[in-house]
Amino acid sequence: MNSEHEPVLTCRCYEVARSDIEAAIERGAATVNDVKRMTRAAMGICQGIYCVPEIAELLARAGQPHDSVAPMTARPPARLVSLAELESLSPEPAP
Amino acid sequence: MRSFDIAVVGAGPAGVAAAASAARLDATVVLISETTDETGQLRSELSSTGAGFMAGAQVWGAWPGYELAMHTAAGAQLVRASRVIVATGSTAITRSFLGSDLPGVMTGEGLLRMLKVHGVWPGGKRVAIVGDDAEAIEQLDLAIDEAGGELVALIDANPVARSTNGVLTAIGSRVDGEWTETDIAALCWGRRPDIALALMLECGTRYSGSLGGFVPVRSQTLESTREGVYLCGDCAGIGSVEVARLEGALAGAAASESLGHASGQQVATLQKRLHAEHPGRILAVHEDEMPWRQHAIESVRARRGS
Repeated sequence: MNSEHEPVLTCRCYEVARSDIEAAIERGAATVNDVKRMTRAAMGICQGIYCVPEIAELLARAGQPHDSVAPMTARPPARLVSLAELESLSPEPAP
Repeated sequence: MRSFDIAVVGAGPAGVAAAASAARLDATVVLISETTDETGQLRSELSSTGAGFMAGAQVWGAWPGYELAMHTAAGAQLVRASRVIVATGSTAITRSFLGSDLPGVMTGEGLLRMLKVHGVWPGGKRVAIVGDDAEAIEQLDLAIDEAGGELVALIDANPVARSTNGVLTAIGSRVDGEWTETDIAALCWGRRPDIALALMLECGTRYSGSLGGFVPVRSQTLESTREGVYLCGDCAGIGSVEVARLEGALAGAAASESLGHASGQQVATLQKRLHAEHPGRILAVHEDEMPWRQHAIESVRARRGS
């Protein structure tokens, strides 16, 4: 069965363990964005749908008020998009 | 690029109500649906209202102005709209725990979709349901039965309590000290608002335990902190179908009215109804005890004789 020494993967896209996130908080991360920049959690293909609420909860548990940890900054694309599709939206043909 | 007065993203109860209500007030409306489920039914529901409908279009980008970029079977498409109504609904709650990345550990919603929509089993058919979302558990229990599966354990593990060992035990399916082999652990921990698009549009949010987590801040007419962006239904707080429909109708009417289409008393009336029938959708409320949850879990257990 599982060993207690196996990591609990909080961000599966980048395989960031919960202990990595807790360590980042220990080192001063105070918001979801801080954790993201320090660990790469939430930067993968799911764009944090699953791990951001959990990171926020870990921050809250460490004493940060929920409202101050804020969900992370969101930028397009929110879904997987091929480069060809992105290029098709370009007003100028690529050189 | 096609232009509309109002683009509604999400074709659940809130989005459909919003599109219908806005179109009836003579705004030009497009309803954008990520899936192609129930396309025919939606089309006929909307045909009398004049709202346009795009099925199978995944909105992946949004910019001020507003421009929405989406992926469709025909490639990328852009839509421009003066107002955006966000009705993106909710996503299943997941948690990480020891073993949560093992094959066979999945959301109840994912398993339900595999069984009901795709008609496949992901590996074996012995299932442990873990969680406290009574409605999802009942639905999944029936689907497992119908698909010839076996519910070997029903474990009421609340993710908030979330003792790692507790959930590990659940996944190994150890009930009352006995280990039971399972192929699938289906997590039914409820839903949380899907605010990805709202965040992309830079709508302000706050945290509300009773509404299901981070939710967009809204005015009394359901407008976000971004002018011209309205939010309705589960994406603004987990609630009932009734509240989603009501909020959709209000958001649609308010967005239409903001473009100069007179709604008569509609906006004021819907606003009063929302406030009276569903207090706390916009302002903070106290945590509900939700006693019905426990009741329904027990009814499944009783039916299963375990």
